[in-house]
Amino acid sequence: MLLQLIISGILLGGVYALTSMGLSLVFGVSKIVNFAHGDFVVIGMYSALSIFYVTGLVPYISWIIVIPISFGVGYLAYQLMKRTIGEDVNQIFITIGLSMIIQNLILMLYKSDYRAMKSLFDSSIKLGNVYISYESLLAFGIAVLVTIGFLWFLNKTDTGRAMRAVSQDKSAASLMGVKVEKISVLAFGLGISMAGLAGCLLLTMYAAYPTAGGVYNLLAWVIVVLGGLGQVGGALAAAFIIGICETLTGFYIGPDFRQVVYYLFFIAILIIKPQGLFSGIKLHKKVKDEVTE
Amino acid sequence: MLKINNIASGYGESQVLFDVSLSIPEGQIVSLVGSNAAGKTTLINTISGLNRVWSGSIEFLGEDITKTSPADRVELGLVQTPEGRRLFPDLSVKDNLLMGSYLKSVRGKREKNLKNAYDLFPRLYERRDQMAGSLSGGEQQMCAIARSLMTCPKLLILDEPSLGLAPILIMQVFEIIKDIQKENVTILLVEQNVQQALKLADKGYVLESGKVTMEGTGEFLLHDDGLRKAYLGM
Amino acid sequence: MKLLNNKIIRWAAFFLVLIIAGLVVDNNYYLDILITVVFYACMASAWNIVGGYAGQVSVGHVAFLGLGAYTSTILFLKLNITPLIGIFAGGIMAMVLALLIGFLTIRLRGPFFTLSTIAIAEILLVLAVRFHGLTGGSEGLNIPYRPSVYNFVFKSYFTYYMMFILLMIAIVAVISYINKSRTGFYLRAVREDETAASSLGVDVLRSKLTALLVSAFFTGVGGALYAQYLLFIDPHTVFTVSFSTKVAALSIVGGIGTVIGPIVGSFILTPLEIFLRSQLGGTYQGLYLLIYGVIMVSVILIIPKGIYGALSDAIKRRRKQVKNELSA
Repeated sequence: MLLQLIISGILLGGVYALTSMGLSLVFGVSKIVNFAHGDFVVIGMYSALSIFYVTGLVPYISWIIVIPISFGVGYLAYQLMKRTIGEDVNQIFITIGLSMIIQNLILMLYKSDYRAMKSLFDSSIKLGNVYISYESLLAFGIAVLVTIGFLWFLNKTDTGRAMRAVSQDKSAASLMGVKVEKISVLAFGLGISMAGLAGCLLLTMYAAYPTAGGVYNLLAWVIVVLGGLGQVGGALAAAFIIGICETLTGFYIGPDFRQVVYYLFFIAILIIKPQGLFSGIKLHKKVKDEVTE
Repeated sequence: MLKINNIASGYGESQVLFDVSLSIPEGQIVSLVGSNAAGKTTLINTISGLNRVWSGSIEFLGEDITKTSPADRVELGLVQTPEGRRLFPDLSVKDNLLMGSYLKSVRGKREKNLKNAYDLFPRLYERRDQMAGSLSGGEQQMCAIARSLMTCPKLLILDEPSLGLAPILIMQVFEIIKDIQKENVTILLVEQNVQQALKLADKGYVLESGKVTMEGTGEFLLHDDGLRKAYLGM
Repeated sequence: MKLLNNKIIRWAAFFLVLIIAGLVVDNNYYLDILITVVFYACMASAWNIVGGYAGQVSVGHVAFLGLGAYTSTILFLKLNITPLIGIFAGGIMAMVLALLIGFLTIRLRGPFFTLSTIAIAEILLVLAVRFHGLTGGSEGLNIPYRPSVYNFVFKSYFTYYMMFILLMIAIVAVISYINKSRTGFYLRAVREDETAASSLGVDVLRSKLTALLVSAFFTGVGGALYAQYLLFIDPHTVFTVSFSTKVAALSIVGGIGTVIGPIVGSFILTPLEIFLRSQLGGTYQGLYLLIYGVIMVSVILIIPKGIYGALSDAIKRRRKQVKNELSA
């Protein structure tokens, strides 16, 4: 059973990694404290749902459509938020306001019902004692694919490199000829696209409901803080830990306690090791300062 | 090449620069000296576009760039190596250099420029995969200069390249600046190391409390009594 | 004219008008609206002490509200202790929680403090559902309708109304006191420039912690009073994070970091909400919160100082103008 839970946790963590990498990008590069990140995940869920209702395309295919939709949503949201960049308090409020708008817009359009996708497959893969559903395996596969693509983009392309540069020193980057504003929008759109994609994939495992954004928002932040702010590698590892933690507590303590455990985890990390679990050797003071000032 | 006409600038409410004018002829090394907090960094940040011009104008290659964005100024060939090196600490040395050739117009020459940079600073080649944040002060300075050269500058602004370096390294840095000039790059050198900077310069300006108080050939300034007293302790 | 310029008299007049309004309407439907407006004005003002004055944005304030409500209700139902005491016990429990939260998280930079307050509220929500022996679980707790002073249950809505007015007077008085005190001065200094303030010897953490404690106390008391008014509490009403965001929205719309702002916010938005809910309720679920969100975003983008802040700026400008014209 333990092995089963750990494997399910890893599969889930792969999808969570997408949300947190997106948040990391938005926070690190666009410098936006996004408290509506979870709601963008939910927009992804409902987009996939709507696409399914209208065209019959399942999330494993429709994610290709959900990504540009999310990018567009992110672009619009950025236009709204960009004026508050650098003002923490106003940014928190404006993203909370945005979150209220998104949640209640969805509530009006889709009512408060839980909506889930019917399973496409009626069997699962059996490896020894471990069952793996095709759903989570497929979702995991897509998540891994996109993550690899994203890492390649970040490390090997000029635009990706510029994003990393902007996240470290905006004005130095502009002295290299980088148009910071452009990179900022792009990073935001990309971050939201990843959130949308994660939502699309989560729909194959969990039901969608209008206020689910609150849960996914904290989840994404928990992972980002756990992994060390702005460290993509750390966020990946943290996503798997949270995934496993969730399946384990869900089974051993009770499903309603899943969130409690990682919220406690979150507070503990912020207090004890604000630079994240995986800051390891090359610990930059800067990261710690971002948490505690 | 660069003409600054009567500019005023500052941060927030407080004015730092008062009616500053200077001109930099093509192919020369121009040194800008002055004590701490004289407004040197403000001046070059204004030239680079990081700081807004309150009044007055800036011309570069005959074009008015007063309102041009920093990124577009780089595109025109106006490149600054910022004070304190300002490397991207979590990017590798190579990635830092590649950031220097971010602009599409210089990407074609990327391989050649990278080779040149490594030839000029073999140390950087050895450390190319190391994070820039882990380099020593001297190495960081080399990396910053090399990164700027990757941008194929027409005018290179160097802000305190000798800051915090050991004397032997300072000599080396000034040698390199001469070499860069030979490659047809005009240089604006901002220095606290007044003697070295003026020795090297074709032309020099002295900035005090946000105003240009003296200008002339490097040789001329070096022999000015007032300046010698104020900055060289002689 | 001189009398009207006096702050205390202006406030007294304001509360007098409120009380007279309560006496005049004499109709439970309208009294309920007044009570709700004053209750949210109290909660927004209490939130504003830490969110506005100390600049620490808490979105988990509902934790204090819920803890206050549960404390007084459980004390009454299980131990038959009068809510007269229970209300203060609720406030004190909220302070204890605030002390814990403060020690753990107040040194965190803005967004991370905010996130931990959300996390704490969510944890309490789950715990309240889980420990149903004590809390009644998701079904919640009913306070029996047996009007008496000891039970702190009243027939007349006006009595409740007066309770909330008293709470509001207390909050306004304490905020005014803090504003004049050293802590208020420190808080303003911290909000202007935290690094500068701390280098001048301002004990930043202590000032923030004080603000948090005071704010939590009033929120806890408010929660306990509210439970006595509703005669019913359940985790999803008294521990839901959306309550905190609503309270924050009231302050922002009215004018953050001012005494009057949150009250202005509540007097504008709460009736609007009640109206929208009664008009659209079933057909457009969530529309009023959508409108809240839109108003909040617009205010931040257009008048970041809120309605009161913008108005008083405009008045100051006008006065200056008049003065200039007179002298010229």
